[in-house]
Amino acid sequence: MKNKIVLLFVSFCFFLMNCEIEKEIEYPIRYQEKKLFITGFIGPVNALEMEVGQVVPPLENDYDPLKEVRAELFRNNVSMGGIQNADDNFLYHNTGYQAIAGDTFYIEVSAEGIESARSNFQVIPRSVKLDSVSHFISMDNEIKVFIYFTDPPDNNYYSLLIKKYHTTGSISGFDQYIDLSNAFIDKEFNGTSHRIIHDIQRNYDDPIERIDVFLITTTKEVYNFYKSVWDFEGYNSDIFVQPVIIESNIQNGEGIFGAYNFDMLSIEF
Amino acid sequence: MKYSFIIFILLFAKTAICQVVISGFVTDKNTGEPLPGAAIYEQKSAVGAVTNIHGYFSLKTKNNENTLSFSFVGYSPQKVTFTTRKDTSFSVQLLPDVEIEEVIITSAKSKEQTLVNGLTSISPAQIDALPTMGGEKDLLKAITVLPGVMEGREGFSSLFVRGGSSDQNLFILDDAPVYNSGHLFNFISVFNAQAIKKVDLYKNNYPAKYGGKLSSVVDIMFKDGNKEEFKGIFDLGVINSKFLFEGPIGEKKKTSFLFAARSTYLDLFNLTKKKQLKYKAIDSYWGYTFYDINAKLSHEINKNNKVFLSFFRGQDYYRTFDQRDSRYNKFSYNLLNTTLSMHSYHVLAPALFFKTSASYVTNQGIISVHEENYRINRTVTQENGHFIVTDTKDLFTRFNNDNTNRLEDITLGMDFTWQYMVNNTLNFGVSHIMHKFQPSLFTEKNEYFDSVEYVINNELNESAYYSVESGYYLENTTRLERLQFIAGLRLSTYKHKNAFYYNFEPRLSASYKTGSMGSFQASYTRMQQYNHALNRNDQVLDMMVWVPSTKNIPPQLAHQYSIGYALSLPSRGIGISLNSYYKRMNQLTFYKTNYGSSNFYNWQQNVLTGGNGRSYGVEMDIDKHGKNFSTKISYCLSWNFRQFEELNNGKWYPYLYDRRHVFTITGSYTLNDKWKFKALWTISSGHRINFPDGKAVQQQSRYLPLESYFVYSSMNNRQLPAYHRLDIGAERTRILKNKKELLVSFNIYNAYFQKNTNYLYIDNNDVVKSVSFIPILPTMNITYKF
Repeated sequence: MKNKIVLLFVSFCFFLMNCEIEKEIEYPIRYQEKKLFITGFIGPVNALEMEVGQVVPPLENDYDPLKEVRAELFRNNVSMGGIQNADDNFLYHNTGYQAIAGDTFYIEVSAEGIESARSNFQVIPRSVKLDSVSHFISMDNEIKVFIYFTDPPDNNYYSLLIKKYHTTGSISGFDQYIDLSNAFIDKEFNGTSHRIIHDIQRNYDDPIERIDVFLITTTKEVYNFYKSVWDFEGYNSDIFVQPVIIESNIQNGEGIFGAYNFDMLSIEF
Repeated sequence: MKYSFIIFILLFAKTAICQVVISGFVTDKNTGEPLPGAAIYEQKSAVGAVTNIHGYFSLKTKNNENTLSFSFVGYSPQKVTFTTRKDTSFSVQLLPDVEIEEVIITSAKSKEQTLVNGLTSISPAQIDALPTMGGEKDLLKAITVLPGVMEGREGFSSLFVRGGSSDQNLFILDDAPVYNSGHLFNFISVFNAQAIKKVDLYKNNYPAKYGGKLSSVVDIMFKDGNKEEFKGIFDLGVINSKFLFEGPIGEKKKTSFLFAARSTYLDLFNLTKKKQLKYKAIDSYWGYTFYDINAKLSHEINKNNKVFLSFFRGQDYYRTFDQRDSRYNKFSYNLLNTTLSMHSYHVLAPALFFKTSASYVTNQGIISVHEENYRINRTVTQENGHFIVTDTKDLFTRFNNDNTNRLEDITLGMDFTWQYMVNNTLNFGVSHIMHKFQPSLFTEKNEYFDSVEYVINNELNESAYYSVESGYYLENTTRLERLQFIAGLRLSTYKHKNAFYYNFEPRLSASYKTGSMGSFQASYTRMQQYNHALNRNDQVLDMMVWVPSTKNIPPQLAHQYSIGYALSLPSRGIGISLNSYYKRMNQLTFYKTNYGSSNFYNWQQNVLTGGNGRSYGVEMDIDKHGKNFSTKISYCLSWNFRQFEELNNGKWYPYLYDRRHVFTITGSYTLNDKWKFKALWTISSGHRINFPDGKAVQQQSRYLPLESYFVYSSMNNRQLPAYHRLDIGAERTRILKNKKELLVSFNIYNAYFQKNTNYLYIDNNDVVKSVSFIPILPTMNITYKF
């Protein structure tokens, strides 16, 4: 009898060791009121471009679309006018003003039934000059573009965009909207010359006749925002990992309002 | 003038004549093991001493006739009376007393010592007195029942002491530093409880000889080995088993050895799974195994000189296999720890004790990923009216990558203890550690077997980082009748490439006895930490990769202030202590981008520095013991915060393990010679988590690669539900012939099946799910002692 008890106990041990308990739980959601979610950018070309979304309860999938979205741009604390939403909540405002390095901007955005949000100040950074761009065709039939620039000694944040013009008249790589999602920092080459090699796959059906290389300088907030977005995207499904908190510089809202500048050089083929 | 001078000389001579140094060793009569922490008291002079880790004591008395009382918990006390005019040295052997329960008897002296010296000594008996998890008696789990000491996630053996993090604890094993204190997943610590002689834990008021970590010191000494006879223990458990052998070498009984090893056999369950995977009966499985070995050799050159050699080796191996039709994937994590240390002690003079130590330590983690992808070619043929389908597989890609992180240390140290006056002891010494860090050695080989076969090799190796860490200390202890004062100063230096740091670390403590039963204490401690741990945020693998301070990453710093009161009522068997502390930390580091990533290449880019921390709280501790039972109640009320400029918009936020309340009660009851019962019940606030307060949505964004993401009002904005569990255990002892023992123990971890939330997540259906790791864990162990 004793042996049977011991055997039962041991069997029970092995069985229970394999149990992982997962259960649905009532965990109070501390959701406050709706807020605005903004991604917007201002650069030296005379345009503000932004998208406006919303922050909804974390478990909600059905929600009303935004209405009456308005945005107002301020330069050095002076209003440069407002814009209203198009159907898809994308706003594009041609200010008629060419922003220069040192200009300070912020935006105020509102929508019907939602408290307005305001961004932190963003200063148009200095552009960093491209020293040169060159290229060659590799054995793998790729166009290798070499981009050289000299980084100033302070902390700088960059992005790189390549705009490709094809012989057929099409443009690829970078359409009319700014893309700062590949922002990077100068920690490895601070204050020195730096080289970037960018590979472009050749397409014989639609050859490239020219490329414009944009070296974009942007702000720390933009860099931190996109870095956290990529971290989130990469590891969000891993339930063992502490959640990634995406950076924001919007007061009473979420998202990013960023400033940028750029320098451009072209290569003709 | 002349007469005054003569009188002065005579008085000095009289004093000198009356001061004699009595020194020696206190050992266990049965095993020859030294007894650290034994109390010696000379009533006439009203002076006392405590043996050090090697059982050595030294005290100065003013009398020629002396009666010394020797006492140690669980042993029969002894008195020695003698007359001497000169320094005297002798050894005392104490006999274990079976009448006295060698368990959690916290004497008045030890409770006072905890408060006065900041020292909590943990004996093997105290570790044995707790119910176990998985049948494994674990040192670190025993420490977590103390107030102010928390474990991390449930079941894990990480320590969080007074608001510090798990990488801020200094673990020393036989004078060698230990960097990873846990086996894989941290369920079990690397310290084999069977081989432990003594553990000293300092939560504050660290002696000046310790340095390099901010939050605590855990100094572990393994047994020397039985000098009198050969002994052994076999332990067979459900999850792992272990054995220990110890005994004398040679007839002169001057040399002894200890050898202990343990291993798990969880992988035995996978023997059939390998075959099943091969024949596609299953798609995947995971395997885990660990082992550790401890060996120690002790040799007594003569009564005043002894040398020791210690070796530790531990390995964890975790792997997963996944095989689908067209893909095979293997992931493995291999963790290796090796320690080799040599130390010696020498009694240079009756009041002068000298110790040397040297060690070599390596800590290595290897993550490997192997993946094969196949192209399935299906052919259908017809034969005798039947269709025959044949699938053949062609390998078209193979990926291999290995990521290794490695740390090597060479440590040298010298320590002196000199009782230069009756009530004064001076400790001084020096230590040097040479570190070699290799946080990321990454190799990758990608093979493509297509129409064109080619191989891409990639290596991302950072060159090794070298640094030298030194410590010079001086500490004076003054013991008067009611007042004890410890004043110490440590100078620590650190050099890495062109970065050089130095810091003065004062260690001050004062205590005052209010009567025969109570004492007040106050202390201030400053600690510096030069090495930083890059922690993986997931904490499941709990991989700690160590890196040095550099020019851009300065060392971390902590100041701790504490006051307290201890009360002992020996007639009632009660000891009470009440303690409060405030800890301020500066220059903290945080490794920001390591979510799931096993590659620490370019780690310097992702380290945040300049962080601040503050923690404060009140701890209460009550012990009660009787002839057959003992109980301990501990409670801690604490707050714990962090602040980094680049996190949480620069605002202070609660630390991950900011648990407001932690209450624990343990008990042990001996029914008779055969049966013993133990229990532990704990309840605490849940630890902090990041739980979304909202979801930012933007359909088909031009600027974002995703349509929505969760947003949080601040870091660690929410708390898990309260945690509580009950552990119970029972032991049945049977004495066999020739003093052999058979012990059968039953333990149930989480006896009432409380499904404590270990983490929360939101599933694909937007339902909040709670996951518990260990719903209930009953285990049984059979131990044979001979």
